Amino acid sequence: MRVRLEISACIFGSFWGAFGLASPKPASPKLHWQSLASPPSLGSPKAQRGGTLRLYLPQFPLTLRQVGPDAHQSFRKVLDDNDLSLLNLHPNTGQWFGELATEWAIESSGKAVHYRLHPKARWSDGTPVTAKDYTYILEFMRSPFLQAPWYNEYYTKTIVAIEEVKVSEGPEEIVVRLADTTPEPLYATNLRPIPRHFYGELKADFVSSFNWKIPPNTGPYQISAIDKGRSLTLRRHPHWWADELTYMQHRFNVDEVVYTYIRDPNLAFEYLKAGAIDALSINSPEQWRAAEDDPMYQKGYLHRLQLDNDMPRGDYALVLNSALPIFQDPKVREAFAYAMAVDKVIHELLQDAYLRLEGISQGYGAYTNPLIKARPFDLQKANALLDSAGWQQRDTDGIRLKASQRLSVPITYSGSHQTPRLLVLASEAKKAGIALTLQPMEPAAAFKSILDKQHSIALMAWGTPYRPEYRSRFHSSLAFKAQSSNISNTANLRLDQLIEEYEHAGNDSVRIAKAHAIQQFVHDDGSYIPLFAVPYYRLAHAPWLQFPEVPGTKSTDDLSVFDHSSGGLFWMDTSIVADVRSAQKRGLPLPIRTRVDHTFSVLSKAAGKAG
Amino acid sequence: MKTRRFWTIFCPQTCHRASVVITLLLVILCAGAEAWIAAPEKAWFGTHTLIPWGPHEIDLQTLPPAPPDPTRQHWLGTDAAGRDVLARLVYGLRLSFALSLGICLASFMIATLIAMLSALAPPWVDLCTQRFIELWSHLPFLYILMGLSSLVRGGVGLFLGAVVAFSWTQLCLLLRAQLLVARGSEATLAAKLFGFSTGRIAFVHLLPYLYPLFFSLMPFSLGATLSSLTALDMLGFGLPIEWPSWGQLLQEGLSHPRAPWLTWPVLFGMIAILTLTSLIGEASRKAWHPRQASEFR
Repeated sequence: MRVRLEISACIFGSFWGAFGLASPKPASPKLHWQSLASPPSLGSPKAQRGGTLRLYLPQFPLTLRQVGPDAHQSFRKVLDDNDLSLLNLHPNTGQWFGELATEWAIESSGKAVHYRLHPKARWSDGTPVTAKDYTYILEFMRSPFLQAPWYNEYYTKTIVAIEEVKVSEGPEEIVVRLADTTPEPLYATNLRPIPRHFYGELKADFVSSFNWKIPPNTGPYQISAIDKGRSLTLRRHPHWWADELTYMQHRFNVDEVVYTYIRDPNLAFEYLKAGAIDALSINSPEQWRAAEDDPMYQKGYLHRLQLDNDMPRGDYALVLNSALPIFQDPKVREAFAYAMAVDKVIHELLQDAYLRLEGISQGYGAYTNPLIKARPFDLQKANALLDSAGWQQRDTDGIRLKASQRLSVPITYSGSHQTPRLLVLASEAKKAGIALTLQPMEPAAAFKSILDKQHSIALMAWGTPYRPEYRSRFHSSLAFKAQSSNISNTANLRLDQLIEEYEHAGNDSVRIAKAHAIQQFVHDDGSYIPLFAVPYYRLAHAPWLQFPEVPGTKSTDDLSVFDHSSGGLFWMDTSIVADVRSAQKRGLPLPIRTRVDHTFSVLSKAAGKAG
Repeated sequence: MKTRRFWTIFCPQTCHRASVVITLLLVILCAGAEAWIAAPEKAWFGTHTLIPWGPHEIDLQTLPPAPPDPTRQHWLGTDAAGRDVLARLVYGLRLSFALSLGICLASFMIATLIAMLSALAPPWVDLCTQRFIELWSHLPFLYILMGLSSLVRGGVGLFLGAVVAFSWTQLCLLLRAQLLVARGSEATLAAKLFGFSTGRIAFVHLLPYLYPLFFSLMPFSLGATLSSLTALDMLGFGLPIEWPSWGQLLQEGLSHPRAPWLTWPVLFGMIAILTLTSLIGEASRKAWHPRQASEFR
């Protein structure tokens, strides 16, 4: 649960003292200014600066613009991570703390948040980050030349104003105003500045002229070289302004990060073995085992790392389209849930590496309803429910029939790694007289088809917002409409009411209660059959890549290189590179190493509770 | 005596005879796969099967894809879902062979009908047909198939129909050329003089002229269709993913570069099948050469 630290003026003064600054005078006496003096540090004092980290790029970016056509792509995260925002959320404590801002204050209306800007913040070209760079956000984001309607609308209808507050002395101050009250005003107003001096007045040719221009940024690295279609290099700023912030110390240690584009992701591991890249995420149990069996690991030329995490889990589920006549009967939906042998997939195919997802909104702490448990594989219950729903006849293949219609339903999905899992589910479901046929599609085509509600069952894994969000997926206003995310076509007035109450709850406890009620409703409705949660991140890496004692944070789910919240903790031990390569050349074995860190293990936490 | 002459003409060399025998053996083994490769409850002879794994049976005793394991009778290992590779190889061959045969017969029929139309109808029909064939044969088959597969999901019939629709054009040009020669033959002219109907002339007097082309092209066409089906299936534009097929085994092999047992059997199988069909095709082409054919008669 997020904890806000509200400090007194004297502590606040000491915080400023740390930067050699005088305590500022509040712009408005009605505001209650908050800050967090010293968020717990993540980096290791053992970290060494230097070295070049080589990584794999699965998709070469079509543009370096962060908004507009083709900007939504996997590489966008690298760019976004290298742009700091006003505040940051500590990944382990859940506390807000200042990044480009030093203090913040929420107006009593809840519709506006004031920020005092960090006086030392600098763009990568040395220009100070000023209030003008924030007020410019609206001019930039509302421009029709961006060709980004979502941003145009969001920065018009949700964020209605960004104003510079005139202060007589001390740091600059801005206020971000929202159209409506929100339970999370900090989250909604936590913006990244836009370099006004770089973009200036936007023109009609913005999209084409800024495709490959590298804007100044506030984060630790900036793109330094582009070999289109082949590689991208980011270089660390030698005098990054945030180096002196305690939270950033001993982090972002490598000098250079080189991304090599590898067209076939199946070959990435071969690149790692050949020494062309230094690290690769190997989250699937099969990859983890393959790495263990590989001679490169057996001889100690590759190491493995597993870090258990404790973070919101995406709603990884089979989503039944309740608009279909078959799934309009809640008994059939429930029977499908009982006919899915998810535990068998986890136990036998995934070697117990994954966890069973119990319901939607898992991993959200108090927001997660602990009473909800996923329906287990139970053929008796599935058969009884299907019999009572009128699916009593069976054809020669053992598939159930009702009025000559077979109980045969396609599953729409993308990703070849899902196929074996779905085949096992289909094989077991057949025992209940259900024929599941597999309909693999390209990711973009699958997403479009699912949003258009052309699926019967969709295998979907939703992202994890800061707090559970239900309107887009369960509100009746988005059911039966193409290109909307209510893909289960759930439409229920009671649920709509719960969503309204959740969104407009006056305090956390009411909001949590409503979240629990919504999760219970979705569980009872049976349109979502929860599948898996991946409770760790796993990595294969070269021995010279070193990590702190705790190699990540609660929310680490990948080798996070630039993420200013939790990334850049590792470093390169350049002194052993030559030794490892020499041993590899001569075939000399090195110590085998698999490091497993359970600091944030949800399993050990559950075991502790049970104990 | 006649049988011996048949073998001498149709299978002039040992390799031709061997390829016919091996092909027949493969057809028999594949057609009766349930007798030796099947889950015991589906096997023809109960538990007396050589491989107790059907093409859809999942064995998760070892984390898939598992390498060849004689103790569990997975002679060629298992795929990513724990299904027996040998079972899927044999059933995949059976399916691919049956579908290829069906596609070849359908495209031969279409090609023959259009070639007949071109050869016997008024000249303007021939002109239109030829221009249409030129246009049609230049359409990008793969792109059209990708477009169709994104518009219509799960349509095996549509997929097979598309393959047939694009596989008759070259054959049609050959048949038309043969028919134009045959149309001027003395026998055909005599038939016309006798006042026989166009249909009778087409199917009784002209059709036999096409037999040499049919029989000499069929084995090559069969091999080419089989490899096309496998390639399309590997690219994901083929048969439903649950059906056993060689293309899917290749696709899985690409996704699992550390599991060579998924790809090698298919590669060897493809080489063997293409060699067999080529040898049979060569023998058939020699046998239907006008000189040898007349000798056989």
